[in-house]
Order: sequence, then structure tokens, then C-alpha cells
Amino acid sequence: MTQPIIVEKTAKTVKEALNAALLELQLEEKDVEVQVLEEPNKGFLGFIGVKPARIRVTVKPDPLRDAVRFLSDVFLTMDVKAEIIPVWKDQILHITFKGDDLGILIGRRGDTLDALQYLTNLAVNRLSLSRLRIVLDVENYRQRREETLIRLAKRLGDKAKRSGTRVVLEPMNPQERRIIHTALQGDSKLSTFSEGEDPFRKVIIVPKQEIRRPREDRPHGFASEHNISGPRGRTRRYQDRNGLPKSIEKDNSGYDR
Amino acid sequence: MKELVELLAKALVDQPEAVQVTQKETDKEVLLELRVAPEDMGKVIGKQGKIAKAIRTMVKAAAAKDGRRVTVEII
Repeated sequence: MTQPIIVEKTAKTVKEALNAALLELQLEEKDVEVQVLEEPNKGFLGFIGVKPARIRVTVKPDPLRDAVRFLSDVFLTMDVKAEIIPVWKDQILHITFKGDDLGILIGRRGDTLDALQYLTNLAVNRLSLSRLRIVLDVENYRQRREETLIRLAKRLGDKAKRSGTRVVLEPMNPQERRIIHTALQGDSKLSTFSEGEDPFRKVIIVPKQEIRRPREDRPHGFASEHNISGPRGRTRRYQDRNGLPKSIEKDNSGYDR
Repeated sequence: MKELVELLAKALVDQPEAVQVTQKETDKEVLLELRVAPEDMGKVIGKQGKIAKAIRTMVKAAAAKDGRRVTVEII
């Protein structure tokens, strides 16, 4: 499954055999390693003991070449005209697309770009032993999106602090959730966590005050019981019930028994 | 669209020669049926259908210009 691609060719000369192999593989000479298995022999007078050249051509692993080829094939079938610009950075292959009207490659919230990135990673890593990470981008879409998410995180963080209640964000993929968590990590007045199952998992921003407030508001035994399970969900529910003293009394009496 | 499914599937499987895509169309819908070698089923479906979903997302993007509904089924 993970073996390199090997082709054996026989022809009159080594050169001819190599050309045939390269044609079959659709590659250039620099992409392969050639091993001569049998030197050709012109024979005596050109007919006695004639032996053809036999070579073994091994395709050198080259993720960049594979990725670019895969992507240009995909664009060809999708009828998308885009320039493919690969750059190595921190052992990660970053590939940017340039062209007009590449919205089709981004999709809703980057859906299409993420799908293409996932498939490119699979296709390129299928034959290689080491796992290489490939990140695709359309003219800084990811960077712009990251900036947007950081702004969103700060704004909603402020809102959570002002109102003292948690803010639930819309569902995001792991990368986008990470951006939100990281953006608010340094804020000592906020904490963040994620809830739900992918693809509906969402980030929740909680003001740290919210965690303490119910403890002060509630009757003693009541608060300590529920604080064991942490501030999530429950806290909010009991706060809401503050407006309905009956239900709190009911809960409380049940608990005292 | 058919070519795209074929290309994506062939890039993922161990037996590209076994990849087959058939296209059935009506004026409003296009149904693409993808067949691969039984051992390669996992390679085009993925954990929790993640790969199949990515293939469908790509096909949907490619079909956006076309305006018809495209369904990809793995058989």
C-alpha cells in the first residue's frame, strides 16, 4: 500500500526504455531513479546475441509534485482556472490559489476549501510513509477568516463580561474553535469551553463571575451540592429559576428530605 | 462531475482500475454512482463518512454552475 511506484521497461537502448517509462508515468527524468537491470547488447553483426536494455524506474517520492498535480487535475475537471502557488513553511506545505472568481473553491464558511484540503492530504499521504500536512488557501481567505474570528471572539467576550452571562457561538470546525479559544486564553475574566458533537460542536464563552454568582445567591446546602458538577448548564438553569421562587422552594424541600 | 468523482476516488484508493462511476440524469437531478473495489470502500467513505462527505462537498461546488441537484452514492 505504501510502496513506491516502480515500472520496468525493455527497449533497444536505455534511453528509449527510460522515455517509454516517463511517458507512461507522465513524469520527468528528475522525478525518477533509474536502475539498469540489463545493458543492451547490439550483438554480432546486429543479429546474433542481440539483447535489449532492461531498466527499473522508481518514482521518487515528492509530495509537492503530487499535490500540485492532484489539484491541477481537480481544477481541470471543475473547470476552475487558478494559479497554484506552493510554499514550504515550518514543515507544512502551504498551497495558495490565485485567480478570478475563486469563491467556488471556498464555499460556505470555507466548506469546499476544507473538503479539498482534506482530500489533498489523503491523496498525497496515501503513498508516503511520513505524514505531511498540507494547508490550502485562496488568496488569504484563511487569514482573513482568522482575523474575523478573533474580532468576533473579543466582541462576544466583552458581551459576556458586561452581561455576566455566557455566550454560545455557532457551530464551528476544530480549527476555528481553536482560534476562538486562543483569542480569549489571555483574558483572566473569561473562560471558554466547547460543547456538543461535531459538526455541531460550539464554543461557549463564560465570564468567570458567573461561576461564583450562584454560590452567593443560593441557600447554602443547595449551592454546594450543585457546584460539584461545575458551572455549566445547571448554573444557568437555576439562575433562570430565580424568577420563579416556587420551583426553587420545591427543589429545595425535596433535597432536604 | 462524473470526471471529478472518478478523479477523487482514484486518488484515494489502492485499486484505481476498479473505480467506476455511472451517471444518471434527469432535467433536474444528476445521480452519480461510485463503485470501488470492496477493499477500498473504507478509503472513499472514511470514518463516520468523512471522506464521502468531502467528495460530496466538492461535487456540489462543481455542480453549482450547473444548477442541478447532484447526488453521489457509493455502492
